[in-house]
Amino acid sequence: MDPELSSFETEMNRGFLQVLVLVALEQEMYGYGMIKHFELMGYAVEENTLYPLLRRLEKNGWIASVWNVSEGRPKKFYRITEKGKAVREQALRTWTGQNEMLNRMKEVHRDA
Amino acid sequence: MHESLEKYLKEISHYLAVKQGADEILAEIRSHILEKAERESGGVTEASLQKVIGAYGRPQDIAAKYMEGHEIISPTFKKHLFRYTAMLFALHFILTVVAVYFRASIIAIPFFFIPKMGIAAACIYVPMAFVYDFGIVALILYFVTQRRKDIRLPWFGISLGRRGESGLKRPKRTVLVMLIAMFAALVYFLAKYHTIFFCSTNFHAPESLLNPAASMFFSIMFLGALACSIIAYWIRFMFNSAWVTLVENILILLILWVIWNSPIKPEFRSVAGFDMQFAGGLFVLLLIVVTAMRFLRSLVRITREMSVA
Repeated sequence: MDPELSSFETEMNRGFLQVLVLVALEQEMYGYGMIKHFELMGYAVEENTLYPLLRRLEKNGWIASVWNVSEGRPKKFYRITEKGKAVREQALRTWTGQNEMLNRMKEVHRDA
Repeated sequence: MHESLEKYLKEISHYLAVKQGADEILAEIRSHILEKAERESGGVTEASLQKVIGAYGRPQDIAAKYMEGHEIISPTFKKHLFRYTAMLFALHFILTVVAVYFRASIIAIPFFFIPKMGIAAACIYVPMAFVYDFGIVALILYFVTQRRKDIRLPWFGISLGRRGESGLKRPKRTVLVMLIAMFAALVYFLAKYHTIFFCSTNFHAPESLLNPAASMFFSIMFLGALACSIIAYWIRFMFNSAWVTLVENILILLILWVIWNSPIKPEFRSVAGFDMQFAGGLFVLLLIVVTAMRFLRSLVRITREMSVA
């Protein structure tokens, strides 16, 4: 892929992935499970992008984590916090608004 | 114990500069790699681990992703880094010239210690001073960045034009003509009186300020410097770039260096009781300082020419 296009996609995905994670973490999940879940939903995410993102969201207090060591290999499970839910609602409103605006813009330019 | 995995995590740890939670980050990566190898490559073996590790990415890239938004120096200080370094170095350079001239040490705590040295040692000292100044400024900007306060640093603006341009004024034909006329007049004096330095204004019988050998040597040197300036000014009609002024100033500095270290020692005539020996030295020193400042200004202009928005 063209490196500039790749960089553009990365920029676009950055915000989208944050919202996606906040939506998905209504249910408790760990990193590998989340990647597989997203894949099933048709969205591929790189592992080396997801984990740093999870750490940033946790630092912001939007998600919380707990280590589960009961199943042999330790796994870090994440869940959205109340603060994260408020952020998610705001982000979804922004996302919906942007989508509507983009559609209107496309309509206007199609007619023109 | 999986050797390749532990080696990989150790590499990430080497690059990972986070204040806390490094062990937790590594534990999470370890857990992910082991699970992926087990589920997707048919078991945890060295070969499957190496495959998963290869897909995970280079250790330095992984570490960098955890440190996004934690720049060592804020990108907003990039211009400050170069401007402050140029200013500090200009001061350092001038003080070095003064220290060499007066054969003395200069201490200006906490930034400078300029030891007593000769020209040759100064040639080694000056590039080191530049690196030192760059380091000092970088260190200060590092602390400012790490404090994460909204600090607006002072900006000592010099009129240099827009970004991508040197800000050099367009050369004027009248100035070039005047310079050439001055050069021609001085060549005429040199040819006729074997000097361009006089200590009397009696045009019928002008007296040379210097002894004959020194007169000829220093006159040729100063005319050489003037010729450099004229040629550079002429080139700027076709190529008005700071690179031209940079080369011009380097050549003039070289000529001034030759004058400073001249094997021919000048003998000055005293004029109205003044010690012209001291005045002559001061005059050359002044020329060196002015040319050095023009040289640094050219460097700053070049960074402007090369910078992109």
